[in-house]
Amino acid sequence: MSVLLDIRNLSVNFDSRRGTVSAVRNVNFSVAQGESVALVGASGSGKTVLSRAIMGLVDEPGHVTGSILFEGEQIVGKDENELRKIRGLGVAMVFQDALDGLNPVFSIGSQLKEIFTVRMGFSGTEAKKRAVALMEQVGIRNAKERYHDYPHQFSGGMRQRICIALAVGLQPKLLIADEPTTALDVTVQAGILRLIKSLQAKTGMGMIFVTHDLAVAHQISDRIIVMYNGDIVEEGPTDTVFRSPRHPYTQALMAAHPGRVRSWRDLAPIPDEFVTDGPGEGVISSGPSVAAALN
Amino acid sequence: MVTFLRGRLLSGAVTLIGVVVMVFFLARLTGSPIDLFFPEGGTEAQIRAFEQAYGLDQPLYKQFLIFLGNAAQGDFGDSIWQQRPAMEAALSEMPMTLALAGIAMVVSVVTAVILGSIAAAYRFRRPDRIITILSLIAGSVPVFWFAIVSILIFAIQLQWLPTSGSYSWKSWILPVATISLSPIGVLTQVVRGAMIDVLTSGYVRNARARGFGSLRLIFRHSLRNAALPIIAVAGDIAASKLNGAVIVSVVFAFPGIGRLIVGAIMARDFPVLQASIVLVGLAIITLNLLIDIIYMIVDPRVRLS
Amino acid sequence: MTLATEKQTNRTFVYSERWQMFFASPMTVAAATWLVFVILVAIFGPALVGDLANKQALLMRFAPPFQLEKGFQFILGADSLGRPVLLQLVMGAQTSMLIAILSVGSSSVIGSTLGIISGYFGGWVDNILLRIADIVHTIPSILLALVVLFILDPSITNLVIVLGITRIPVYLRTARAQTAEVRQRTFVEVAQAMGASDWRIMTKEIAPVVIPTVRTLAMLEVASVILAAASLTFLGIGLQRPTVDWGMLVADGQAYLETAWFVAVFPGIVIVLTALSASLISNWLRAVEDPAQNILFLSKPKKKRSESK
Repeated sequence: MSVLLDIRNLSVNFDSRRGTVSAVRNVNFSVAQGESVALVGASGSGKTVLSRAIMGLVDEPGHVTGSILFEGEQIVGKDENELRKIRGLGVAMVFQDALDGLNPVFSIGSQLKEIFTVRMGFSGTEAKKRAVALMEQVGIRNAKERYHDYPHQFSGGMRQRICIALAVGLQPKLLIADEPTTALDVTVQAGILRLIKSLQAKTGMGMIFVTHDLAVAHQISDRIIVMYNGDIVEEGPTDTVFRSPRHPYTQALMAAHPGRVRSWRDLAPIPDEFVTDGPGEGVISSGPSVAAALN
Repeated sequence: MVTFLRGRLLSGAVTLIGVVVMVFFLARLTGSPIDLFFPEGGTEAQIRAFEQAYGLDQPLYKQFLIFLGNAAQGDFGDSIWQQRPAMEAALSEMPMTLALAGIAMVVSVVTAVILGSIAAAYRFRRPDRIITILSLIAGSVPVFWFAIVSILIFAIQLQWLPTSGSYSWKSWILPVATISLSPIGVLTQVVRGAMIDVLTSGYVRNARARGFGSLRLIFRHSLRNAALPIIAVAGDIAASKLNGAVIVSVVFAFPGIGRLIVGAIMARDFPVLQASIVLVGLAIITLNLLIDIIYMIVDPRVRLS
Repeated sequence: MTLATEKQTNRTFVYSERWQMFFASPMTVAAATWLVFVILVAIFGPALVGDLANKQALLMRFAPPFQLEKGFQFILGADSLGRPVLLQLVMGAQTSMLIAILSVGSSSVIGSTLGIISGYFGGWVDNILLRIADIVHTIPSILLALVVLFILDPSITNLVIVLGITRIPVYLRTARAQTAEVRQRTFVEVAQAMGASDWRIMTKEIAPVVIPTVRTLAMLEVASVILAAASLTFLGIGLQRPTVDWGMLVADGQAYLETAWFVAVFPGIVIVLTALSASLISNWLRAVEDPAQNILFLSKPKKKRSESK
């Protein structure tokens, strides 16, 4: 398998009045073609900033240093015009906020059509045909009739399906999914995960799946990368990491995960030394915060 | 969509009737025109004739019913001082006022969109701070005082512009500036807020992640969304222009409905006062209806609900 | 941690944040200082100044400003009758502030009460109140005030009534919208289920949510009312000498613009400063309620602190 994405010594710093905050510190990892990697960590561990850096979406006052090679091409330091060519066609991204992800004043159809006319230069009729096919592919029933509907006429889960369609529609080589299910009802989360997994298998694109949920990571990835406070603390094949986590933080995460316990009495709190005011919000938000609150 | 429009039309009609009713009773309370018309107290017969001519001898409720019936046909009686129908007098002043308000509206929207967009683009930085403070100041300057100071500077000291009248394009500059100033202050803040909301929204970020260029991001994915809150306040802004038009008519002796109304109040010319205020009310109601329709066209969430 | 102490720390947290934001902005501090100064002058000024303000002295006619030899009261010059502009401003301060505070006070109380009733009961009460608000709102406020003030005798009370009536719709709509929204929330439904009376729900559950919004709005309205009142007295209606307010002073000076600019200019500057201060304070209040909104204060929204400890 050849290397699709190779990240070396990547750091992302944010300047603020209160000094520089480093959100990502000297990170190294790579993603092979067709490989699925889960990026796991608590909120504020730097995983979202890292994925935005790969898209070239870190804006002032943020600064990216180090190297991000995508298909051998250096992304760090590219200007907006060059980045534009890679976005969508090379690397695409699905974001967390499904409800805010689509423009409320345009119909679903026109937003889908746009990626084909603008990015691939298709004619209007051809683009429309592809847009409808894409809607069907992500599981929208009556795609033809719903083509002219507006985002507010769709449910949250359906909107996220459209966002996924918009991301995979141009058949990118790498898909970054940043907690695509956290904003959704529990009942629709499983469906979205299945969709992403099947699309990845079908198209053979590489994927970075960002999540704080270990169960989801286990379900979807070949390899796991654990981030803590801006650093990668553990990396390895998913099964290995699950069977024998080496880093104490990973072990703590595992122990705190509610999926492994039968009663809340078995929940172990994240040890105090791992609860930080970290670069982001600093609140450990998955299972552990439940444990911490119960304490 | 049809029900929405019908509802708006209906509520506009009810409001207009309300305005007519209010105007009748308010104007009747301002004192009798007889005292004004016959300052030295005319003869009994003269007064009787005058009362009959203008229907002032009827009981109040009858006067009101007659008034309402006539008003429905656009007939507000004849002006007591000018020898012509009141509505005609009011209508003849309307074009000037509409032109002034219209030009001022364009000036304030264009200026506010430019300033507000700059502030949003440089949000939290120096240009934003400066524009925000300037817009607060613009909203705090009394219209009449701004008019006086601009006369002092541009007409008296520099002698660039005339102090009053409406004869050349130059005499329009100060009135338009006067009426636009405080709306620019308010509108700039609205534009800034709307722009920031849109620029930091998920859908614009997503569109950027799809590899669209910045022109496409601004013109297709931001402009229409940012226009919504601006359209929403446009009605109030337009109403404030008419307030400004009253001041401008006094300070700059600028013709228009403002001057007519002030004059009608001074002269106790009921018919003209009633016709003018109903006309102003009608203009504002029509404008609000237009704004609702535009809003509906731009925002599918309103159109389809 | 018990509930009580948690509430308390929360409160001190909010207070310190508020004051931190207050002192972080020199403009807000300046605005507050100016407002306090104007209010003090309005309360004590006229009594201290006494007859001096209205003493006519033809020798002093149009005395130019910024000259101390004629006495400190002539520092801002004198008007057409030789009355010192500075002392006229002091007299005007009392009238202008009285009008602003009374009309904002009455319209905010009446408007938000009607708004809460309208939003809480809905139905025909709501319909009628909204319709009346619409009608009042449709006629430009100055026109409405012109007409009404021509019926009534010129006095501070009548000016307050007119300004109050024209501003009521603003509060009514705001309070109504928020009440209609709050009504749906769980704590109101719980209170209803527990059999609380309508009156109790409106005063104990809804009013506390609506009041902060109305407070911010009222502060902003102080600015608009100062401007509106000045516009009316400038047009020559509403007040008569010997009562003066800042708008009248500008009107007095208008006729002598070419010979004595300062008579019209200084009162205007005082109006601008006062209205601007009120807007700045209102901005601060809004920022306190929604820190992410405003740039005049902290440069960036403060990061959330860890809440899990």
